Amino acid sequence: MNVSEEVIDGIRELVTIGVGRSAGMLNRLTKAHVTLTVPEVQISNVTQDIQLIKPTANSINSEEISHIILEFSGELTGSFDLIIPFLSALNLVMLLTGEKELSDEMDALRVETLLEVSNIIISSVMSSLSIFLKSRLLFQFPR
Amino acid sequence: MWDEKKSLIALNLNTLPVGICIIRENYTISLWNRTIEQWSGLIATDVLDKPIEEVVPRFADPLIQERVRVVFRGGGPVIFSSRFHSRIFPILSETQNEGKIQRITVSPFELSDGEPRAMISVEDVTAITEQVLKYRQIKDMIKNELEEKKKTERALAIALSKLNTLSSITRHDLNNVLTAFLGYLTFALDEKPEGKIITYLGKMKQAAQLMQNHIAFARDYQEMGNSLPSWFNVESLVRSSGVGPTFSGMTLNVDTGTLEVLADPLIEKAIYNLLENAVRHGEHTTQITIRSIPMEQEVIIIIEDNGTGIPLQIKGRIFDRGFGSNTGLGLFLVREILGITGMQIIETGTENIGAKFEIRVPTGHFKYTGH
Repeated sequence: MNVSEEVIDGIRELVTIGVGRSAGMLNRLTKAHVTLTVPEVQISNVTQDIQLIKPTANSINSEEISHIILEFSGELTGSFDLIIPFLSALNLVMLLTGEKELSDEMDALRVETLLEVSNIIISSVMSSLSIFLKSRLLFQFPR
Repeated sequence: MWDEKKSLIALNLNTLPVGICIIRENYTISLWNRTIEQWSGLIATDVLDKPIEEVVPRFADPLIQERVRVVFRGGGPVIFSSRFHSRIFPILSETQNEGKIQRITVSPFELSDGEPRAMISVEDVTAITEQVLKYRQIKDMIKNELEEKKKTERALAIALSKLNTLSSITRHDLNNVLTAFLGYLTFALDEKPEGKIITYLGKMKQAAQLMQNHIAFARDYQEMGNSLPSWFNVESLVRSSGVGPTFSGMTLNVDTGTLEVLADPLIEKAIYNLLENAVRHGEHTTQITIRSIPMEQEVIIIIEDNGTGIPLQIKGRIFDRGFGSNTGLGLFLVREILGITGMQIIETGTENIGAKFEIRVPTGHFKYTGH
């Protein structure tokens, strides 16, 4: 897919703003220093350029994953997917909530916590991207 | 028309078991449903059009405000989990359960008047939170108990190992002394004593030999259950046991296919003992047949010979401890070894036709390889 470098730069900047804002929120929420790196921006056709996503998929291997999805429709239709290896997600939740006992289970409370953390990142990025839009998007509840 | 619509929405939202509060972009309250009225004790007419932070002070928190702003900016729904946020909406009484622990979602809410609004839904997650916390507590308790159990098992294994060493050393020393004792008894008997002395020496020798048998029994019994049970192919067990001079001229018919049984490693000795008994006590045994009969819930292994069989009067005692005239394992130990993994043994042969042992193997303790 051919997208000009100018557009990619614009998207990168908006994502940077969103990610930066979410990092700030996470810092204050968890009272811990959270650093989020700016993601690399690639624009691709999911059905045609599937190999572009493969490195991400391979880095996770066959390990179980935690997958948070926010679907939206309107001027833009699609979903924002946050994929974290299961153990990393579990460790992240336990670290942020200060749980001392190690556990291997993502119970209902931990899922709820992970959902909020993911929601902070996703909604911050989405609100940055919405600057582009003339009308508001319709969102499903994140799951 | 518009008022009618608003009344209809309010009516519908009042029926939900979730607390609902709708705010405008200037953060004033435009709807306060019945559920949240009940939980908070604040009546809608008293809170409508007031700034949300005045009614719900937690909304004065800049972090919460910033995140709600994301909703108005078009960033989609925002979640406040119970884990990160203590109760946000006030409740009427600390003793009530409803609304005590809350999960809050703020999402964009648009009506045909075009005014941006956000709907704050307050879910009561008190019951599920308490259940999860209780579940975690139980899980931790089980984990601790398991760790304790493992510690105890390790301590028991060490104690058992020490006992085995002590027992082995003691047996060895006793055997040495007994061997010397038996040697001197033999010398004494060789001197051809007279009268009652020869009788007494003979009895002493018998007693010493009996002691040797007891020591041998203690050694075999000690080994039982020390190793984990494993799978044994029945045919291989029989074939490897039925070799040596004892079985020369003996025909062994084995028809157990690929049957395997879960057993203590001492089963090799048990099978050898059964075969050796067939030869030793059968007097004229020429053939031993081993076969298996699959039943609904178990499999029966049959070991039968064409010897003299077991006399009726001793049938009831052959599995008793100390029964038998030999120094081998004895049928008592055979039964104990099989019993470790739930196998049972009985004798169903007929005197003058041959001995017949039936070993019942329970379900889960046998398998056929290749099936």
